[in-house]
Amino acid sequence: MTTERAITITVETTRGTKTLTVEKTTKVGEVIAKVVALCGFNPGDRFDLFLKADLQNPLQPERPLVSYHIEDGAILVLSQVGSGV
Amino acid sequence: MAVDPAITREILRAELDAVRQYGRVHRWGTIPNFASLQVLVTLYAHNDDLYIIEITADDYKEMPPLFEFVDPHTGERGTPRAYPKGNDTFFHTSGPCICAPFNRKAYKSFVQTGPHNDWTYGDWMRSKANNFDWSNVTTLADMLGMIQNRLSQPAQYQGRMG
Repeated sequence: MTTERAITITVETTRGTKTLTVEKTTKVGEVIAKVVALCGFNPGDRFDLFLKADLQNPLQPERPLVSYHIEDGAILVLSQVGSGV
Repeated sequence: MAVDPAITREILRAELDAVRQYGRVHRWGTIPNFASLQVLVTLYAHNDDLYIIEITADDYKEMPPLFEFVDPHTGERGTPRAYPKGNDTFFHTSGPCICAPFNRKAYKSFVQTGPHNDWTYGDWMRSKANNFDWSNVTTLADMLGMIQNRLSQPAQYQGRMG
């Protein structure tokens, strides 16, 4: 349930669309970890989270959602970074 | 052992649903050819550079698919001009190819230009190459998503390879 302090966000991933309710002060890195778990990805590898409206600039993991003015109903995009081998 | 094409076809149909859903975010276009087990995918870099990827998926998922870039201006396959350039060796000049366990073209045992003679097909979905857990990249949507990640960010995408 969305409260004054909580927001519901939608995250588009390569393994489906995930919806979750989190505190506005939740750090981006914590959101990534939650979505990675929901998707069944193994944790530990690098993932980026973007605003759907800005797919060029990944959100910084240490910053809280509120610092990006992310509001209830926002759509985010999870992206796996990978590695050059 | 070869995979029954009917099985691969069903896997492709299921995975392409996820590709289309996630691809809406990134403006991907997909053209499957289920008879030949191939898929053409169009993607855009952050500056609207167009890329075309041909995915060949015979024997998928016993073997990784083969990713090949196609020059959108000439239709030539596998030329440096068809490939993006990044800031590491994911887009590798040898071949050129996508240098990742999910790409058959990265294996020297498949093509002479493949950068890796230390990889084997059977491990592709469990690979830990370069200390990265490639078990997270085992669907076409995962693979294309990783490619798109490198096209979307100005800090990573450096134009065409050639």
